Amino acid sequence: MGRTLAVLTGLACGILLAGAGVGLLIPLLPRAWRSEQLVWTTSATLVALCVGAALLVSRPSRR
Amino acid sequence: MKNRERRGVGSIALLVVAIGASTGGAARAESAHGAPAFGAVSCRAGDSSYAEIGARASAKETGRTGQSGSEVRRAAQVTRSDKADVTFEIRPAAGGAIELSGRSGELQVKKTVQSSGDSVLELSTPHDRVTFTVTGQSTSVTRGGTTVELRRSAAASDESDRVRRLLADSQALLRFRAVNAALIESDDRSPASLAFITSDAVAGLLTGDVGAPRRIAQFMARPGQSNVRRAGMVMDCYSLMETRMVDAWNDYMGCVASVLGYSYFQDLCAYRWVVQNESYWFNFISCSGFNF
Repeated sequence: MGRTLAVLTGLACGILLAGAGVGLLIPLLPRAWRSEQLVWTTSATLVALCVGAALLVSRPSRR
Repeated sequence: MKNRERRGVGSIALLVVAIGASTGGAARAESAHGAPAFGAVSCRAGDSSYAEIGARASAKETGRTGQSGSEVRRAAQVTRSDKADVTFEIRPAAGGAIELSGRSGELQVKKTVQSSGDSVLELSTPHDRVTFTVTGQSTSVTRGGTTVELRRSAAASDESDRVRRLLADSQALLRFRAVNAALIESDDRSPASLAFITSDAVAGLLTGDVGAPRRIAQFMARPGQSNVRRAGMVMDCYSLMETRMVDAWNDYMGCVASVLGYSYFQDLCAYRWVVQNESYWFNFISCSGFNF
């Protein structure tokens, strides 16, 4: 239960972070580099990192 | 062998046409001499199919009337537009032409369209008579014994001014345009009505109503346009988000520059940018199909 909640929190944070990341990436990149694929790849990477971090943080301790 | 047979049929047809032409007016209606205007499609000796059709029709009509020299008037298709108060008659004419007549009160209209697309429009009231002749080469207007011709190849001249002056006080034309206005108003899209309305574009243009062809084109295109639905957005989801995010970033930079030296206000600019950005991001996600 605790882990599921952590993963869901990580997912929500990842989506929010992806929004901010994309919002930074698009205006700062040259026009030729901007593309929908880049946006989806970046956001998916950020979400995956956040969910992964949430999984790591919520892993059961040996103690 | 086949060629010889064809040649034989052709010569027989030629013979029948020649006999028909010499015996009755009905045959003359189908012959080349029956349709002198505009060189409409007619029976030619060299063209066996036309010759055969012409010969059969001539023989039939001569047989039906039973007397030579009488003109055969083909049956007309009669329709009426009550709203515009017009009665139309459409009938095939000689040489593959179509003849359309219309009557509205004192106004009598007769339009003849040849297979080549050339047309003659005759408008008449008890005291006025106007004839428009439209061919591939020119447009002629005749009224009261005066004819003005506008040639397609000629450079701009004052002939169009003469046409406007010629038609300025024409009761027949005024009545014709009023009838067409009523037909358009009643949304009558029957073939006869559209033939009248097409002529109204020409008449309107010649009398100085330069917007008439466009208005009539829009009227004619309206049923087709009503079935057209936009298949997609003007901008796709990504382009919309990109534009908005770039604008938001420019806003943020402007905001920061305007409060330079005040870090608290600069933070507020950043918060505003985050809120805008997240809004555009979730808009993009929902627009792409992930409707959270």
